[in-house]
Amino acid sequence: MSKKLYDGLESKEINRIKKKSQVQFVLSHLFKNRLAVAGILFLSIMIISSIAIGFLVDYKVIVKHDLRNKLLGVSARYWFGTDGFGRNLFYRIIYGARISLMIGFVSVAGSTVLGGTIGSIAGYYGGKLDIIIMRFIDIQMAIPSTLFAICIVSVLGTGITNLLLAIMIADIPQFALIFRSSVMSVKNSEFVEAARSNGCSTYRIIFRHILPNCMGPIIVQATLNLGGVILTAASLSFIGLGVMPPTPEWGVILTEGQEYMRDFPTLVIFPGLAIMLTVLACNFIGDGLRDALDPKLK
Amino acid sequence: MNGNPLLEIEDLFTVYNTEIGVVKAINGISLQLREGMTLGLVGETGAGKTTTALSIMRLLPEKTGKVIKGAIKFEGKNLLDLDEFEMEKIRGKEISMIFQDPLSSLNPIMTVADQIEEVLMIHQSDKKKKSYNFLQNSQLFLRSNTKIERKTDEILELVGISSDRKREFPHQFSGGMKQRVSIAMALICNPKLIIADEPTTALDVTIQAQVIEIMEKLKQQLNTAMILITHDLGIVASICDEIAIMYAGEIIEFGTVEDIFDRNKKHHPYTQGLFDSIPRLDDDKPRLKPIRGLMPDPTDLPASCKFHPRCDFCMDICTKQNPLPLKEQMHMIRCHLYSGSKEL
Repeated sequence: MSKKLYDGLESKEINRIKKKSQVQFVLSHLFKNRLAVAGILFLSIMIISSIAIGFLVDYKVIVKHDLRNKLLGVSARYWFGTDGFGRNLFYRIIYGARISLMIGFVSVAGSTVLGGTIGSIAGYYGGKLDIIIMRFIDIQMAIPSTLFAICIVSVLGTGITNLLLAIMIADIPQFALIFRSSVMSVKNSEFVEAARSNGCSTYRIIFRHILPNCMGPIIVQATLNLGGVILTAASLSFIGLGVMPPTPEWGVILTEGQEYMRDFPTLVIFPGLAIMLTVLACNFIGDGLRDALDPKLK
Repeated sequence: MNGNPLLEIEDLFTVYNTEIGVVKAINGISLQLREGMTLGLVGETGAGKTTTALSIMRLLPEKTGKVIKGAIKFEGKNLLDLDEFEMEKIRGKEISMIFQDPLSSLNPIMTVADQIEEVLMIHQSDKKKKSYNFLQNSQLFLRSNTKIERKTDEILELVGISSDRKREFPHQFSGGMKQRVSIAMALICNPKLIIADEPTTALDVTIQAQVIEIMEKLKQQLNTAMILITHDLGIVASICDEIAIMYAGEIIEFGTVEDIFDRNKKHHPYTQGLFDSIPRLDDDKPRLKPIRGLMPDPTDLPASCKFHPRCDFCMDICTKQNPLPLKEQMHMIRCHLYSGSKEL
């Protein structure tokens, strides 16, 4: 009798599992990881509030100087206080998330696609093509990426688009290297040979068999880079090569707060915290995704 | 004997161009396989068994492996003349392959059903010339093609896996079940020829028996021809119709199971050695008699008989001249021992 009961339970269990799709599997796993949930929450709050602020507050209010109210402390009206020009620091930081996150997502997506294409070609085809591509990547790797971005910005000129391009190009080698090595390691697996023996085309083998098996390290790298890119963007803006004041970008806010740092430390603490927490959130999500995407843990 | 020739290999030479030199992996083998028959390829590691299989599938490593001479005719078509696109249509549909290690021959991040359905889907879209719909096939979307799904269930039940488990990933199955999944993948399009490359080597003995039983059952049901590559003479005896014994890229003895396993018939000294290396219950020998020495270096093969340095019956002529094949009906031996007589 006990066996019957067990069998009944088992088939119910199987039905429950069967109903879940791949995406649900990954998400349910991701939501079990508390740090990842915290990261997702923080990032979504940032994204939603930075979008919402565009509708709730006039952009003029964010950039307008109001010298009577400059350098106020934390209060009910000014949650993070005001900066040296009397602008509401809370508004500026929330609005700044728009620019920083946009730069982060777009440039990481861009360098993943570009670097991924270059790296996959090099890794899959190998031989002379690989050698030629990788030497160019090596040359670029020899230049520190922030320095490289500075070079590009100084050639192209400052501005958000150029900053984005600069960071995107500077990050290509990292992605190319990771894609290349993962593709190379998966390429020789027996299941790829088995797929070929079942009549899969090269295109299909790359996109359905090799690349999905490389996703783990790539997603981790992309989320880690998201944090890094936000930092680079902020630092380029900080040294005056990225976004120009009065646009409220986090790096710009930091620069502006720098001169009052001794007497009014909140002016750098709050934008610094915003950068730090966003980078941290990205890293937590990256770690969570890596675990959730590994089918062996299910 | 029944059936038309399905696969004919004529005087095949395959080499690997490596850094240390040209590895002569296959040196002129000729084979014939008729519909519905099972051929066992037996030999030591490095005898060229897997290379033969890869040459047939045209899956030799691109940069190094190359067929330099010969023809592989499948239903009259020379596979070596086909372009890559035509070959893709044959792989999996007409000829499919079962690999040695089921642990690594399944894609770890695709469910079992997805992998089996993929094979069907590739070859179905060929036939209907329907543009391939990526979204429909993607794991993220609900499958609408119930016909394919039904076929997958059927084939899984056929190899003895409950279709309830088809949405599971390969790591959730045991080794034997994984090998059954790869057998299901190989069979799904009803191929005319299956090449099984040591399908039982990575499995333990009880599972080996199961897998062999399933393969035999399916072979009879579907009337598929099979090339079974193995070192296990027991498996060969239980499942094969014909046996080719390979040594250093040559077939040194060929015959029906009866020819090879009949100890009273004449055999190549190497075949003799293979049988002497198997422990037997009815023999009271204290020790096994292994074949002395090692396989010759494949970059530097002797021009004469390739087995002569290890052969107990080596004669003068063996070091000078490569023996010609001697035939008696199906039974073929390449050895100077019997070259005096015209027939075996």
